[in-house]
Amino acid sequence: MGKTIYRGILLFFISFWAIFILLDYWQQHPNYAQIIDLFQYTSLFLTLLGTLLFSYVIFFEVKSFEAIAFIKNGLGLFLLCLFLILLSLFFYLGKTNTTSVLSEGSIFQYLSKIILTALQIYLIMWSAYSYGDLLLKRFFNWSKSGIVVSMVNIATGIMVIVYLAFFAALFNVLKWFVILPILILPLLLNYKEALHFLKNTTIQPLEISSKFNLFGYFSLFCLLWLVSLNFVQILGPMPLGWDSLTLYANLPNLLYDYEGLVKGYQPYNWSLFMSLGLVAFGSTELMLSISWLGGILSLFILYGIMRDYYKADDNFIFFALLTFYCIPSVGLQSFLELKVDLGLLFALLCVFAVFLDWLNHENNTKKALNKEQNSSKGFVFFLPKAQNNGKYTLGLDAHIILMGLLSGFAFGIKFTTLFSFFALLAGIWFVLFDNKAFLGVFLAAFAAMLIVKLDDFSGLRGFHLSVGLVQWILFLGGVGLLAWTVRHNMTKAIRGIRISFLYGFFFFIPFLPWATKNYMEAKKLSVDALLNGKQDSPILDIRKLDKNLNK
Amino acid sequence: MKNGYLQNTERLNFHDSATGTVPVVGMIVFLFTQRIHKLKQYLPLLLLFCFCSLNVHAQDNQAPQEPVEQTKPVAENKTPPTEASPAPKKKKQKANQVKSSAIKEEIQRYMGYEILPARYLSLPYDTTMNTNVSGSYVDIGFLLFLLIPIIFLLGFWDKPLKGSIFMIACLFVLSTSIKHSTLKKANGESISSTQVDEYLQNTKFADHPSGVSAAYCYKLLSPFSLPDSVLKNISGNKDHITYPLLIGLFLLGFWLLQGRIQDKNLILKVSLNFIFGFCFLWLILAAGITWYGYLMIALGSILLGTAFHQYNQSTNPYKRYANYGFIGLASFWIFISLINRTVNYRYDYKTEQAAQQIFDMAVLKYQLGIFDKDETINAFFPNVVEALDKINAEDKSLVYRVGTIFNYYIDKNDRRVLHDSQLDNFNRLANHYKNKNKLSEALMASGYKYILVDLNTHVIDKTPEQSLRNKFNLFLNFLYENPRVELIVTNRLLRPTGNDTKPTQGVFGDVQYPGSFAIYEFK
Repeated sequence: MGKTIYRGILLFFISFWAIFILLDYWQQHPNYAQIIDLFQYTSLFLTLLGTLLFSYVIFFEVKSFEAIAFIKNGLGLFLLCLFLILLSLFFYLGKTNTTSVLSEGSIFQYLSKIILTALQIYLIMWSAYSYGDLLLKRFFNWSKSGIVVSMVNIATGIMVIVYLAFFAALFNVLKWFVILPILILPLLLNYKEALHFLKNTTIQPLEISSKFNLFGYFSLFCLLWLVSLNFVQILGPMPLGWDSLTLYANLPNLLYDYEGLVKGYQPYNWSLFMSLGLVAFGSTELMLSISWLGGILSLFILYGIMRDYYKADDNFIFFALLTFYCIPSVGLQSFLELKVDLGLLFALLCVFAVFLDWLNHENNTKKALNKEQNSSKGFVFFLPKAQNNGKYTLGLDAHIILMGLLSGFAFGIKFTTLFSFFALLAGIWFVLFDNKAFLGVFLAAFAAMLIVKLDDFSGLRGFHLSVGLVQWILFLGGVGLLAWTVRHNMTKAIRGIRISFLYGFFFFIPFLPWATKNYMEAKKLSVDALLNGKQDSPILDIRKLDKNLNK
Repeated sequence: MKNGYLQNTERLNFHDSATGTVPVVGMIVFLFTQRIHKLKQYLPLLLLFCFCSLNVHAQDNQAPQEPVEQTKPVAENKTPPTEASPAPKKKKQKANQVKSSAIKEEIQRYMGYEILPARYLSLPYDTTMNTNVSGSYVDIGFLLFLLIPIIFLLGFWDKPLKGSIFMIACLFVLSTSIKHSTLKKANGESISSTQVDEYLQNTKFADHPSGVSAAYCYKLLSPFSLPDSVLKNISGNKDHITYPLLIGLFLLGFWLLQGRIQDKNLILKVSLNFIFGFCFLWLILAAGITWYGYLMIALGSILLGTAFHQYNQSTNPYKRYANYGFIGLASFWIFISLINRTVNYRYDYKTEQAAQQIFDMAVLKYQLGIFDKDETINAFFPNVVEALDKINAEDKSLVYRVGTIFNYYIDKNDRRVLHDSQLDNFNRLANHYKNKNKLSEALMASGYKYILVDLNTHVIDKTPEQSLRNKFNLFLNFLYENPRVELIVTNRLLRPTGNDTKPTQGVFGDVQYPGSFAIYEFK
């Protein structure tokens, strides 16, 4: 009886919650209701729906069309994207009565601009993948092949390219004849894998799950439409968003102008990466596309995480990705506010994927050790040289090193990486011990953030009068809880400390070049100076103003 | 007023509350029908009812709130011309009245300015509903806030203790959040959620069904929140309790989470703990800035997808039915988002013409080879290219920038441009140099030659004291009839005067089109 009443309350609560949030969101965002009233593209949507159904039938339902399988690949998807762009364009011009702007020549120019930029961006990805594969294959023994591995390769490759560009910029040789060879070099050094990548992403038929159905295809189709729309919209001569014009696209522009580093600012790894579009190809469109690329790569890695680690099927994966990419805040950063947050997201998701893989192997190694087997393969460094007594394995440290390096790279994109750094640190202890260890590390890490006054960055610290006491109570509580949790297994605890140290150490390595640059500028060793350097911008010093006035 | 408030709270008396007694008695009768050893499972429900009854009475006794004084906008688009184009108020403003704080104005606006604990507790709600700052760039949709608590709760189907605690926590957070929310009228205006009764009296259901329905829900939820009188006694703009309170809630949440995921595999356990930790750090440190939390939004989305997948395969019919609902809601979200995408997001004013803009015509013409770069820029910002060419004719003179997006177009802008979007620097200067001539001369003597002004600088100001708006007034006052500065270009249009038939460019006067920027030169 009691349980029934409880369940009744629970169902009532759930219904109330759903209805209220929906209604409140709807009334707080009148723009949705307005835009439904003003919506004028019913015919475009119906045509898209028709295209969707037609292509679905051709691809998946009619067996006699199996011959068409030759376009069920990367190139086929690209052609579909081009078709969707043209379709949307014609409907737009028809709706705005501006079809007169079209001519044979202009359409050719339009398509060539899209294709050229796509090819340039593909080249950068190809190069990044080749670098990543070259490096990781050398130090890791891969047994998996799949989208997560490819994405981690690309992230690693981007990191390598960015740091090579950093050193070129440091010596004021950020020029096309330096950057282009940097991009082409790995394609030559790693030509076999580069060709493999080229084949896989263009003509190799896509692996499609037998469970893939119209629901999944609908989500994929909508995603492709959104991605295409976003891409074509950024192919302009300048960025249009506030933050991109004032900072994130401005920095690449300055890097291109100076052919060297820009003084001051927080580390700008992704802006440096964006600048390659200007430096290597003189193309603002490509520079902006690199910002857009962060979102696309994030979709790929999210797909990989869901498929490989959460074991979801493709239909729900594409559906979830579509719900994410539909978010206006994310969409806006994909075609208007071209910033670095989606690049940061990609880097952090790669770190998370490596962490999940580490966790998988940690589990597998435990099982293997229990069975006295020592042959687990995978995303591991020099194969796991696990010792039978269950002590530290060199193999799995490679994951931690890579996590550290990629996290450090992400830290060079934005300092908010620290949120995920500390949450992952706690996650490592959760895997080694249990939730109490997680809590202990997390509380201690949070306390450390308060002790170094990270809450002052957003100006919030001043509101908390008890913070001086709270931070130390938390720190002692966290450390105490951790010590109490690990007291019976000191070997594992030492391993945990070692892994945490490794993660932290390699986290700081990618930051060192930036810290050095900032130190050279500021000539100070304070935290602020190391993080921000010293800008060259004018300073309003009233005494100087007075002095100049009285000259 | 404050005394009145205290007197009223002193009258707060639990036993006098007839409305509160009924649910409590009902609950006690219900509890005694259960076996004694199960009592503890229902304790949270009892607490909830006690709390409600306490609060219903507390609300009865609350003093009416003083309406917040609104400061008129300086240069708002829709106000009558005399206000829209300020001949700025000539009366001398004491500069020390303008409390400057760039961080407070620029960053903390995402978080809101309510009483401190509510500022944090309401962040998940505010981030979803965009009650503090609105616009597509902060809109993350409703799915995460709507579905994650429900999916969490479904896991407590057989755990009444944890389920009840979770429901109470949700109600507490939600009711605290809506206290500082707003209700939209049919004409788009907002009123404070504390004026629900007035709203319901003046708005017909047919005029604004979602608003009226939400308003009834606000009324229903209001008893669950902590009374302002209690909050004001223990907190304010600064306090000792918010961090301990948030940490306490984190621990409670962590405990509930462990109960919820105990039967999950290690990967899901770790993932959920990681996301929970990340969310907490974002809540405490990110001041509500949406894009600092993209990782939790992305991982939240794929975990929702994973839940859809698992519920789809579930043998429990309730979960499968619930899943149809979830997928329906998510499909609705996708539908409205795709429609929203066709308007290009950027157009805040919704017109038939704006609703057609899947593409930007100027950018499209550039892509088709009809426009060159300068023509494209001029299409967005009329006549600005000429002004920028002038600024870029040499690269030694300095530029004073108050907002605007023209940084990108100025050569060596990292060395030449002084950023003062929140006008803190200007405020210091205005304090020091008492008249505009002297101030202009000082800037000119130090190499400043141009001023870039965003004419909508003040609209981001959400501070209770309207500090940015006041500073912007001061700045406009500096520009107004200043003999040492000359307007080069603006996209603000003034109504024709005298024999003119065409509108003219100008900042001060009878505004026809409000525009967004102005570029001045010192002379």
